[in-house]
Order: sequence, then C-alpha cells, then structure tokens
Amino acid sequence: MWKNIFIQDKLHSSNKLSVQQIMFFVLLAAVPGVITQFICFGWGAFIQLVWCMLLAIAFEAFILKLRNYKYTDYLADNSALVTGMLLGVAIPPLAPWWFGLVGVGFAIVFGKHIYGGIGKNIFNPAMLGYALLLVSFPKQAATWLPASSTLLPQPSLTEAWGIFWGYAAVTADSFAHATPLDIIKNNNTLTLNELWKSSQILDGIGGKGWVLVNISYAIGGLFLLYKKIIKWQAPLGMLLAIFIMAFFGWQGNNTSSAASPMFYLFDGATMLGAFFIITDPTSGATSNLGRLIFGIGVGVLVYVIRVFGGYPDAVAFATLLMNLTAPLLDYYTSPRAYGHKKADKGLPRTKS
Amino acid sequence: MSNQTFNPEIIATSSSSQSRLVGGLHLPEHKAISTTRPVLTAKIADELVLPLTQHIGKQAKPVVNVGDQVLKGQCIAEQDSEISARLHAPTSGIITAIEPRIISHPSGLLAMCIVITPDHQDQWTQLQGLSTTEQHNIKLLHQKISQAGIVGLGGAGFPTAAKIKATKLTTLIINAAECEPYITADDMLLRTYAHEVVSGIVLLMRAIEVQNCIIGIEDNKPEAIQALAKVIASDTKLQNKIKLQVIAAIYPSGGEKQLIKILTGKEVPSAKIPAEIGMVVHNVATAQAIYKAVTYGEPLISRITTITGGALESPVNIEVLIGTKLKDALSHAGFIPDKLAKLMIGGPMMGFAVNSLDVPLIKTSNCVIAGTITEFPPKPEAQDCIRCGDCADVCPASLLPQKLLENAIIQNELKLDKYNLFDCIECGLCTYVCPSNIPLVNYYKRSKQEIRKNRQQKIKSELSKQRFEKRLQRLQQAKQQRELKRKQMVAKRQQASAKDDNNEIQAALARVQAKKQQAVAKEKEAPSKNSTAVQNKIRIDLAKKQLKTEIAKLANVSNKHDIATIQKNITMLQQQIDSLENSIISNETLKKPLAENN
Ligand code: SF4
Ligand code: SF4
Repeated sequence: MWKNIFIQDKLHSSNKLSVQQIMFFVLLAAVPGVITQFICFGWGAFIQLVWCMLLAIAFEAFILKLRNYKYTDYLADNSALVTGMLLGVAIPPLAPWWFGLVGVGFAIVFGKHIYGGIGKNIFNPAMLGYALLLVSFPKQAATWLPASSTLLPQPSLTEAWGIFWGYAAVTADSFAHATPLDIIKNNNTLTLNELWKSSQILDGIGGKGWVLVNISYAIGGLFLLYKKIIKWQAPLGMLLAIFIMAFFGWQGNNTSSAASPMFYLFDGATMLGAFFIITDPTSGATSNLGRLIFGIGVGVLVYVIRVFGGYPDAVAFATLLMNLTAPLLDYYTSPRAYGHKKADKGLPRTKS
Repeated sequence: MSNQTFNPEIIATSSSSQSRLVGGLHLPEHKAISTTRPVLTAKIADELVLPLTQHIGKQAKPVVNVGDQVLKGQCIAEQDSEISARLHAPTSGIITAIEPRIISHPSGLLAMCIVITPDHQDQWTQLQGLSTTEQHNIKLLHQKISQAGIVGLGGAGFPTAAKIKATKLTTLIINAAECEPYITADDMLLRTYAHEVVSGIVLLMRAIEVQNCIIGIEDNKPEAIQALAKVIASDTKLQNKIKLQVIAAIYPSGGEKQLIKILTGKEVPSAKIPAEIGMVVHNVATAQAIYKAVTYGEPLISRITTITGGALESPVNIEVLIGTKLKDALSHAGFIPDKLAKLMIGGPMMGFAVNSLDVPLIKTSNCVIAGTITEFPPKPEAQDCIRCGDCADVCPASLLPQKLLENAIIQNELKLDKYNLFDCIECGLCTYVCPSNIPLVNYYKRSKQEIRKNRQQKIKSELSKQRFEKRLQRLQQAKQQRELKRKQMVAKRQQASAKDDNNEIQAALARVQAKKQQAVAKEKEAPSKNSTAVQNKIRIDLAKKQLKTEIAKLANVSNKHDIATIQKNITMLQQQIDSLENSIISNETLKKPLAENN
C-alpha cells in the first residue's frame, strides 16, 4: 500500500543508471566475448545463443503473466536476456534444442521466479540451470568442439542446424573434441611439457581459441568496471585466488602436476565467471568486503574442483556454493555505522 | 582559488584532524545560475502570512488581535515554552486575520497563521541593541537572542536560544558548506555580509563560552571564502580563534554530523547530540541574525533565499520578509508559469514539493526551486531491489539501505533497529542512486514515524496499566479494611450484649436509628451516586440470573461448540458481576467512613 502513496513523493532528482540500462550494458560488454566464441566454435555457438535468449524472454513473459505482473514493464528490465545470454555461451555449441530449453526453463522458473523474481533469488539463475544440465546430462554437456578449425573441420550452418534439431546425418560426436581442461584433468602419465607437445589443442598457454575467448570477456569486464556497473572486489578476489592456488599447485614437470596459473586464468569460463557471473548483485554479497571474500571463495573452489574434483570446469558449482554463503558474508561484513563504536554484526539480539 | 589569497594560513584546505566523508557523492551543482546577480531586496508584498510554527518545538502564542495595528519588528506571537520561538511583524501594517492557511510543509495542510496587510510605511518599532560593554554579559546575550526569535536558519529551525544553553562546549562549528545543489543563499550571504557573519560568530562564541571556532565551507564557493578570509585576516584576535577550513564539495558534507567528522575527525555518538563531544554546529545565516539582534536589537524578520530553477528567467538571491508568498518571491526572478513542473522548497535532495503559490516563506526557507520538466522528469515506477549495493556505497552514515528497505516494508522494528534506522540522516542519496528507482528514504521517514508512534503508545499503555493495577490494589485494601472494621464492630456488639444492659441497648438502638436517618439524608443529597449504585445492584441481579440460566443450559447441551460458547458467556457474566461489585465497593468505601464515624 505504501508503495503507491510514496510514488508521488519521490526524491526530486536522480541521474543514475536504471536496472534496464545496467543490464543492457552487461549485454553490450559481452559482445566481444560472444563474437570471439562464434569465430572459434562456429555456427553452433550462434544458434545456442539466439535460442537461449529467445527462450529466456519467452519463459520470463510466461511466468510474469502467470504471476499477474505487468509483464511489459518487467520484461523491459533486460535481466532475463542476461540469464539467457550466460546460458547461451555456457552450453556446448552442438547441444540439441531441448538442452537449452531445459536449462533456460529451469533457470528462469526455478532459479528466479520460485524465489519471487528479480532481486529475490538466492542462486545465480543461469548457473543453477547450467548445473542442472551438467549433472543430468553429463555427456551432452561435455561435447565441446576444438576451439579452432585447423584440427577438425567445423560444422557448416546447415550441419549445425541439423544437429541442433536432431535430423542431421552427422552427429555432434563427429566434431567433438576434449577441451584443454579435460585434457589436463585426465592426464596422469605425461609431464606438462610432454602433454603440451602431444596435443595440438594445447598450443600456447592453453589453446589459442580458449585464451582468446577469455581475453575478450576480460575486455568486456574492464568496460563494465570502467562504467562502474560492476565492482572490482569480486573479480579481483576470484582471479587472485585462482592465480595463487595455481601457483602453488604447479610443480613443473611432474606428471601429476596441475597446469600453470596462466592456464587456469585464461581457460574454461574463468573470465566469463569473474566479470559476468559472480558479479551478479542479487545472488552475491552486498558489502565490499563481502564481495572480496565471495570472489576469493569462488576462486578457491574453482581451482579445487578443477584439479581435485570430478568436473573439468567448476565456475557454476563454485558460484552456487558461494551463493549459499552470501547472506552470512553480509551479516559478518556489515560496515560500522556513523557514531557507533563497532559494527553491529550478526543477527539482531532478540529481547529476552 | 583566485590569486588574491589574503593570508594562506587562514584558509586551511586540509588539516591533520580532517577526515574524509564516508560515502557521499558529488552531485551536479546547478549553483552558478543564481549567483550572477547581487542579492536583491524584495519588495514588500500585499499580504504576509506568518505561520505560528516556523521552528521545531511548540507553536508560538499570538499576542495580537485581528484589527491591531503593528509596527515593523513588533512581537506578534510569544514563545510558549523553552523550545519555541517568538514571531515578529516583518513590516508595519494591520493584522487582518488569525486563521488556518496553507503553510510550507510537505503535507500541504493548513495551519494557524497570523496574516498581516502591510501599510507600506515600513515603520520600525523601537529597537534596543546591546552596548559594547553589555555585549560581554552572557545573560544579556542569551536574552537578546531569545527575544529576537532566532532559529537555525540552515533548514532545521531549532530555536537558537535553546541550542545555546548547552554547556561544557569546546568548539563552535559554523556550517557554511551548503552542499545541496541549487542553493546559494549562504554563499551570497557571505559574499555580501561576511563582516556581519564574523561579528555574529564572535558574539555566538561568547554566548556559549568557547574559544575555538571552525568554519567549514565547500571549495565551490571561492568568492565567499575570500570574503571570509579578508574579514578574519583583518584582526589577529580573530585569526587566533577562528579557523576557516575549505572542504571538498561532496554531498552531504553539510550534514551536522558529517561536517563534524570532516572538520575534526570525531564522530557524534549514535542517538546523541554534538554537545556530547563538546561541539555545536550553527549556520552562517544564524550567526548574522545573532549579530543583528545583539547590536541593533533587530528581530529575525527577513532572510536571504535563493529563488532558482529553470522556470525562471533570471534566478537570483533575494533578501525577503518572512511571510512573503511564493508567488511574490518568484516575481523577482521572472517567473514563467507555463514552464513550471515542480515547485520545491529547500534543495532537490532534502527539500519538498508544494503545490500552491500561496505558500509563505518562513524562517527556514533557504531556497525555492521552480523546476521544469527537464530538470525534474517524472521517475519511472519503482522496481524490486536487485541488491546492487550502490545505496550502501553512498550512504554517509554507513548504513545498509537495502536491508533497511527490506525490513521497512515488513515493518520489522527489531531489525530496523539493528540496522540503525535512527542513524539515517535522510540525506536521500540512496534514493538518488538506486537503479530500481525505489524511494528508499521515504520508507525510512515513514518507518521512523511509525516506530516513534508505537513507542509513545507503548509508554502510554504501560502507564495506564500501572494505573489500573494501582486501582485494583486500592480496592483490595479498602475491602480488607472494611472487613476488619466489621469484625471489630461485631466484637464490640458482642461485648455490649454480654453486659446485657437494657439502657445501653436502647441507647445503641437510638444511635443506629440516628445513623440510618443520616444515611438516608446523605443519599438524598447525592441522588446520582445512589441511583447508579442501585442500578448497579439491579444489573448484578440480572447478571446473576443470566448466569444461573447459562449454567443450567450447560447441563443440557452436549455439542462441543455450544459448550464453548456458553462457557464464554459464563466467564463474561462473571467478569461483569465482579466489575460491578467492585464499583459498588468503591462507592461504598467513599461513603462508609463518614457514616461510621458518627
Ligand atoms: S537517506 Fe539515510 S540510508 Fe539513505 S543514504 Fe542518506 S543516511 Fe543513508
Ligand atoms: S540501490 Fe536500490 S536496487 Fe541497489 S541495493 Fe540499494 S535499494 Fe537495492
């Protein structure tokens, strides 16, 4: 009730970005990364992105309608598009149509609206959807392409389209190849040097294509930082944590060694995660110190899961695990208010 | 700053004790538009409206009647308590009404005002300032300030006479920050009357017995800084006492607690006033008003107000009589009604919108903004909080506005307290930055009101509970006493009968008869009490009868639901009977002692 009374009596000036604009800039910042991904992985990546974003809008509109919201207003906030975009770039390029459907549907319906919609979700919706896919359909989720066409031929548009709808003569498997992270993970006989020589995928730091994709996302991330749309604490915490962990886990020419810090920083979804995923305000910590700890936590978990866990990449699981801790981080990192001797941390003392 | 700095030592741009404001934001200033022309003296309007409440505290009490002829500076309403302020006629004229009029308040409600129709003679009443020696008498200083009806002119309007009563102060802080966009009244005041302001500061320091003064001023007012520096530099005595400190222009550096932190590095403890740490903050315009009151005996009847905004041809600062209506004030700046989209009193952050041009300017009105639609575009509908934390970053009190919002919506008082709602200074920055367009500060204002109301009610109900319990106790005691007396009487009678003396018995009978007659007479004297007592007795009988029937019913029904209702009825009836009996007892205790003493 109040809300309506007060709409009349708003503050009389404002010039900051709206949610809609913020989300738009996030989409804009992802453009370099997305384009690089198209170039490296071909038409499949393009199809997945468009498909997921369309689905996101459709699901959002449907749920808003069900919830009796003025869906034109809420759709315009662009947040569903961001969720769709994140899933679109996370899903393997040659995944079938239902793969995106399940992921996006779960993300929007269960990741977001079950909790009450924008601003109320505990988990990052896109990561929740992706985690579901990883756990439920491990085979499809692992079917990645090599990041350049020099090794294996890339599917043409018609082939990609056919594989997507499932009527093509070729299957996704005929184009598939292990990702650099898979290779490292599954290696326990070769030293790093030998491994690098043995595999064409691992040229340079860890596969040219993957590194390029990561650099492109990092550029977009820097743009967001410059625009003050995201804060530096969480990305820095995550990247620093990965770097330090990897630095100590890197034992030169040992067959059981993990790869170099640079490899972990520029491979897989590291940069996408650091700048686009863990910076989601809703499911992250809200205080600055909290954000830093949140980022560090994600970084540590990413490394631990990549090196010791059962999955080659780990951004989704690490993010979800840290999402769980966000309220706690907020409780214990609340700032000291003016005129108070110390910060009022933890839960309120109930009157006894 | 300009190259003609007078004495670099006077202007401190940073000092060891200075600290940065936490949070805060540099806002677009919009100040230059209203500083192009010198301060204009406003024409006397055809009608002045003076609300009786222009300050924090109790409303002033009118001491004039409709039809009275008043002179300029004559007191027309007296202060009605410690925390209140006098009102004076801003010009000579006739009191034409004392009635509710629309006032300068966000609610747009009417309040009691004294209306004066000026005679345009502008004739002063007899004024009496203090001589130079008298100015050293602290008591006289306080008296003069109180008589002049001065209130804090920065916007809060706390009666200055009450504020200067604080003791054990060490530092006077003069607020010349003027951090809110658009407002330039203090800037222009300093450019024009720096000398009067500094003299006022010296008097103020004497009145509150402090030796140190820091003037805090934002670096976006170089002319004012130069003017102040020039006055201070002219006298070594002043130089030793008054420090001029230039601070960065960040909103809300002019907030009382924020300014103290910036200038001294100290924080005012939560829920305390600055006097707690030996400081007090006064506004520059207040200092000037004190100067005028003390040296000339001039009461506070005018002030400098910024008239600005896009709907004006030439924004300007005017020296205007208190009680001038907005339409008269705006006419000095080339008002274009067609362009007006929002009419505001105060700054865009902490001010409020009004919707009538008849609203009068009061002592605390430092700015009027006649804004266009481009300056104040309608804000889109508020959306849900996305927990971005921008609000927490800018909050100068280091609160967590998003947490406050959550709990304000569900009115969780405990948590609002935990998140220090009452440390919010209502600066509005959180609302300003919120990407979801949530009017956060309005929720806080509302919540504060609710909580204050609840607390008052709690205190009230606590008190009435105590009263009720005491009453019960009293009744009980009275009952016990009566019991005791009756027993004594019985014992006496038994003794008397034991003596078996006829005469005595007859005498006793006669006494009883006499007593009865007296009682009858008394009851005739107080028929109302008697009748209520009788009525009560009848009611008791009725209730008892009902009780019996209900109990009888109880035996006959088996339905659970019915039993429950009957039992409810029974308890209700019993309570009724009890309370009626109680009231009869209390009535009788009033009568009995009299009857028995005979
Ligand atoms: S209005 Fe209150 S909560 Fe909001 S920024 Fe200002 S002090 Fe902080
Ligand atoms: S600025 Fe607005 S959206 Fe962001 S956390 Fe604060 S209240 Fe929520």
